[in-house]
Amino acid sequence: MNRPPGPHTAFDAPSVDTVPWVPPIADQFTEPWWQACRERRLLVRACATCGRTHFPPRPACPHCWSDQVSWHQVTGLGSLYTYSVVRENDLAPFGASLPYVPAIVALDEGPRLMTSIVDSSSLTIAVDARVEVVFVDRGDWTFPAFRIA
Amino acid sequence: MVVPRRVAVVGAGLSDLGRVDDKTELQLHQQAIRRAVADAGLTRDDIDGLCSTGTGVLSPIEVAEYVGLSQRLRHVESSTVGGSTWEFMSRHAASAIALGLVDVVVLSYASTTRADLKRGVRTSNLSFGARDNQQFDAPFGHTLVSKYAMAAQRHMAQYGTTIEQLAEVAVSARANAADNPEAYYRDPITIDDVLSSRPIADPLTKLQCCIRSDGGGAVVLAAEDRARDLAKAPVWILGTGEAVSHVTMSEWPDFTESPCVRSGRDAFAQAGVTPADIDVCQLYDSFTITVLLTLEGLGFCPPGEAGRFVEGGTLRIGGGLPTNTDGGGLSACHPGMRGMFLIVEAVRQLRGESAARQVADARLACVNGTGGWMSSASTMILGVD
Repeated sequence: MNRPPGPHTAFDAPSVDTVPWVPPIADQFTEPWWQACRERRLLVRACATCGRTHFPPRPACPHCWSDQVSWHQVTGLGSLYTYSVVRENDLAPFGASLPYVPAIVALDEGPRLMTSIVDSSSLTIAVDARVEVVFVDRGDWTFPAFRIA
Repeated sequence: MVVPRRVAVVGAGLSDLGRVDDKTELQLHQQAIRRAVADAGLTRDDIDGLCSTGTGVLSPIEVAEYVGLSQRLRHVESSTVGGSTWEFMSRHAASAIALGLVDVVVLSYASTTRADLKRGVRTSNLSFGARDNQQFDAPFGHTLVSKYAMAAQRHMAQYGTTIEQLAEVAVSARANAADNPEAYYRDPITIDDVLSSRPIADPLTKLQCCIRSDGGGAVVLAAEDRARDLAKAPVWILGTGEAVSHVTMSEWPDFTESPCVRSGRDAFAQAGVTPADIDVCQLYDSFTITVLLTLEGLGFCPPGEAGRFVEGGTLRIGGGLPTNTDGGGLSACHPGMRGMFLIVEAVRQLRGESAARQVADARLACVNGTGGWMSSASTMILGVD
């Protein structure tokens, strides 16, 4: 795997219990996506006109502008497109939970999403590593984190 | 039919820089604007356009009002595309001047980022909200530094770029800053210094991140019929381009490609020159990786090759492609956003005003602003007769 050399000090990605996170401002259109997370289902949008998927979700397809778009459940499997290890952040609640590992995951079905890597050793976290979704419950919200598969 | 006029940068000025604890942003705007207009040999009565942003509500009207120009302007603009804003504005103002809509346009910027942090009136990291697409990004707490760090991580994995090559960008900037009396940091640093500095967001350490200083700047653009008989030799705007990409990180198609691929293509084509013709570069260095992506995107080297390209001091004054000759945002001057200062330094180099840091025979400069988190790019090709 492609693990760059660098000034990294060893770390473990936070556990599902400690990974820092703040609530979104959801809206009527996106609420079904958040509700699906609560039900342990990860959704993207799929266009019946051009056949492409997209995320973040829009009512109309950003690729072809068709409105023949619907929610589509994905497997929750993908690869780690890139990541960083945040070691400084003066914004709450993140500053109290350092380090943590924000990441971009490329889903096997196409779209990418921002997430956080959890429950993984720094020895296994690397660009292009296989990852799987882990749903994390926080109060009224459930969000998709990922761990190294 | 309107025959387009040529457009030049005819004035450039900086406000107080570095540590400015005794002035507000609007006061720095006024100082920089007056200095730039005086540098051009013009007066306030010559100005009929103003482009500015970065302050409170309704900027640039706020700036126009403060400097007493609001009742006479016929070209006003406030793009909001991040640190590349002044390159975008230059392109838009040059277009308006070329068409004859306006004759003399001032661009300005000022920020007291450093003083505000010191006074505790702003946080180091900024929240950009969690609505719409940001509801899927912001909850995870990716900082601005980590967004650029993700690009660095991907570039290293995809192309084998080393952390030492990234560090060389910071070392070169500091070497250039040594000869700039206005630079914030001037003491030489080594690659080891860069790598052993405080880790902020892997793989970026503190010395790979732009500094936070105070200051402002302004430039004056004018039509060729005005530019010919002013105080300083005109610095011609030969080509410009602008491009945007993403706000939501998951929407950035390729974390190793800057939108300057598109803005640079347009700018070089309009100017009728190639990267090989360029004598000096001012490339926004928010972080070390920004410079690598920009060098590749503009075609100074092939994709993936920028790490090797910068090795050995290519970017230093006296190197193969002197870049960020004032010491850049990494060492010299970065009050919140840097786009304005790129243009000021390019103008000074092309006029031969740069004293100890002057690049010999600098005739053609490339300026590239990068905004947001590789969200926007604007390229300018500048030249002297």
